[in-house]
Amino acid sequence: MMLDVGSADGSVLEFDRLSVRYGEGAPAVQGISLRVARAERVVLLGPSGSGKTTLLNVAAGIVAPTAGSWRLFGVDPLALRPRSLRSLRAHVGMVHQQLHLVAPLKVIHNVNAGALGSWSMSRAVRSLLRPVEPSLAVAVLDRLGIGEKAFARTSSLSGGQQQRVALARVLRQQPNLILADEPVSAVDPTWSAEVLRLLGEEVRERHAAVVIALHDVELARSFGDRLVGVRDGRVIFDGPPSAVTDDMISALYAFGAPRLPAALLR
Amino acid sequence: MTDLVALEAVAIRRSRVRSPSTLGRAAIAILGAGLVGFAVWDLRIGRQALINGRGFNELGRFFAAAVHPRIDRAMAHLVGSATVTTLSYAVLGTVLSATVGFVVGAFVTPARFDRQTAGRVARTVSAITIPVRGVHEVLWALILLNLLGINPLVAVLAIAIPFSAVSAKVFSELFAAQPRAPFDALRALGAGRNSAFFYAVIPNAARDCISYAFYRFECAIRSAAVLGVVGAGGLGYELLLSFQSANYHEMWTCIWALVAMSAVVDSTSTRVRSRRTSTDGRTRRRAPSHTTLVAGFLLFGVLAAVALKIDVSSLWSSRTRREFSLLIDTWLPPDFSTSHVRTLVTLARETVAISVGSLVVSVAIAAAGSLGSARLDGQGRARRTGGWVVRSLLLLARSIPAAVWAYLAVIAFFSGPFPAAVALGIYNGGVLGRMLGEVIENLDRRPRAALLAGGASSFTASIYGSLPLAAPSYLTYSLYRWEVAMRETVVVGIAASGGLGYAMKQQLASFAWPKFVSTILAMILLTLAVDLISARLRRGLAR
Repeated sequence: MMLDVGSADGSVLEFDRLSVRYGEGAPAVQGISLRVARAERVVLLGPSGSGKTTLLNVAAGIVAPTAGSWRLFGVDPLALRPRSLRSLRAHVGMVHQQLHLVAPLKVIHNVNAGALGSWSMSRAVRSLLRPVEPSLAVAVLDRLGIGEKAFARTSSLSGGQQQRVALARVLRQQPNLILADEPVSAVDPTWSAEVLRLLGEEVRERHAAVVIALHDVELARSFGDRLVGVRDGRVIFDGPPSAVTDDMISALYAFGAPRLPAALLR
Repeated sequence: MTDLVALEAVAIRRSRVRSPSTLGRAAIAILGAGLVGFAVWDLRIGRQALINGRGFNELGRFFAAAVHPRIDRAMAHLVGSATVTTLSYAVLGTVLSATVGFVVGAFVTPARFDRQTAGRVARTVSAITIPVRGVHEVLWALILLNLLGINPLVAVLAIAIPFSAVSAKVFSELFAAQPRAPFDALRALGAGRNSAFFYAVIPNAARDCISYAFYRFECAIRSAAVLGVVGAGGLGYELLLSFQSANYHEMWTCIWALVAMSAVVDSTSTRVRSRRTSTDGRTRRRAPSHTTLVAGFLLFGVLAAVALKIDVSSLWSSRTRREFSLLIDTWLPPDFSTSHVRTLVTLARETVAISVGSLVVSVAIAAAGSLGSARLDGQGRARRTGGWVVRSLLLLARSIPAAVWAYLAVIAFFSGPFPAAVALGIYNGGVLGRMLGEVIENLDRRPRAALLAGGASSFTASIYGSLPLAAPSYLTYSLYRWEVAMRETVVVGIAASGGLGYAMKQQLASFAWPKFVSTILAMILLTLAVDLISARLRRGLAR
């Protein structure tokens, strides 16, 4: 089934009073409502443990919401049959904070894994023996400056290089919604700017939406056309960079009456 | 180092067991002491003459022949072809079981399922494989012999069937022990369950799977030898023939061939396993790739099949089908008459006694042997030579099949459960001694180094710096070995007249099939009970 990813109102991702609670601790996300449209660049800001990763994980369908609803391209993923859910998921790509690459595999296979949503199982297995469409993967790696590493073992790469492999997987996937959790934390400043420029290209050329968590406020201001401040599982502010003042930023990160994150209470 | 302790650790971690209370420890200690006391009673130690004084001269003659094996052209030819047969059984049995185990393990592993269904799947798997694992290779051989007649497939399948079940369980657990997040990440981008499994789980588990297959190969070599003793041909069979004609010089030719084979396989396996695991994902330059190893493995399997002249069509020949329906008719229903069940209970007690008694012997041999044999820093030349001698003795102990040890034990002791326990103890002591030696050599060396630097002798450094660290592994391995010993009681029982194994031999000889089937079922139940108790104790002792 081919899914119509341009939903009627152009909404790509929609949270409605979303709450997530892990175990018995305080909720990681409490009643957040958020709507992301096509070709939008949304940056999530907030101290660690504020709920950014949880929010991204719900969007990717890795963490299930405890309350509230979650829609992708206007569709409720939980109501879909497994096959339709798979083709919906192929339109959502994520760069995880811990990367979740497969260390013993060659780089090219980790990049090709981005295509698994559209590949049959036999094609997937065949590609492990002899890479299918290697030129596509190599081209993506070239854009990220590590083309010569395509046939190296992933575990032999440095942290920053591995981070770029995780990005390459998403670029190979060509999803309509790109979720990225601190994707430039391990690469040097020059490459940070370059990586964000590449993500910007995805927005301009394919009209993909990007939701990205960053800790560098300067990068956030230059990349995002919308900044969302998250703290203690709630949205503190949501607006264009021009509307977000330095005071709002310092209030977001202020060391005042911080609640312990749910993970620590468990 | 991927080893059984690591596998156990996975299981223990998942069950989240806390250190037992003082009361719990006391209960475990009392249970252990009770079992040993009961074994002493049931093995008739102190209640009956056990030692046959006249037998020792004979044993002396046997061991004296060790330095004078028969070596001539005819014997070399005989032993050479017998070695090829035994090796081929082991290779083909391992290749088949690793393949089946991998496929079945991958099919049923919780790692391939989404989190909600995973737990249920894991429980079903271990329940299904239990009866297959519980039946010893020798029993599979006896059953298959009735179906297929004289056929090399009997030995190959006798190894492959129970090994497949064990491998399937272990592989499925190895898959489940891999990090879950990469699998979930691929599922999230739309990958199917199988594609995600191939990309995110198998590559991570490959190294452990290969290590485990090599460990299984070590076990298969020993199984192939013992299958020979019960009539499947190869070195074990030649050994038995020479023994029956009391030709000790010929026996030692066969024994030295077995020792050489074990030595090569054991050291290769150790090297492969440490190379596979010592590097954290980075490959060393000269280490063969996983693909090369797997391809080589399969190639050896084909060579072994050719060497044995395997004819697969005999599996579904009309004769086999006829034998199968005959077997169903005459073997079922099993004999559960009161008198037989009463006999089974008595024999089951004796079998447990044999296993516990053998464990005591094994642990004594292995504990002393591992400390004496481990290659450690700070040892002088004499100590190193001594270590080499101890290692060779352990190798000899495990290279001679348990059944042959049992025949030898019957020379020195009056037949019954006692020599069975001693024989099994010596054989298992050799296996356990090697495992514990590996444990010691893989320990954190710093505490020992600190003691040596402080002027302690090598021996004191071992007692204070190595033993405390190794103690938990010693217990885990010893208890694990108890489970193996339980299955192996069949082998020594047949040879030394004790326990359920001996009953099976008599039932087979008198064609008492329904009794035989109920005895096998009793054996499976007993194995299961010991597995449960041992797993419980191991978890209780884990910290």
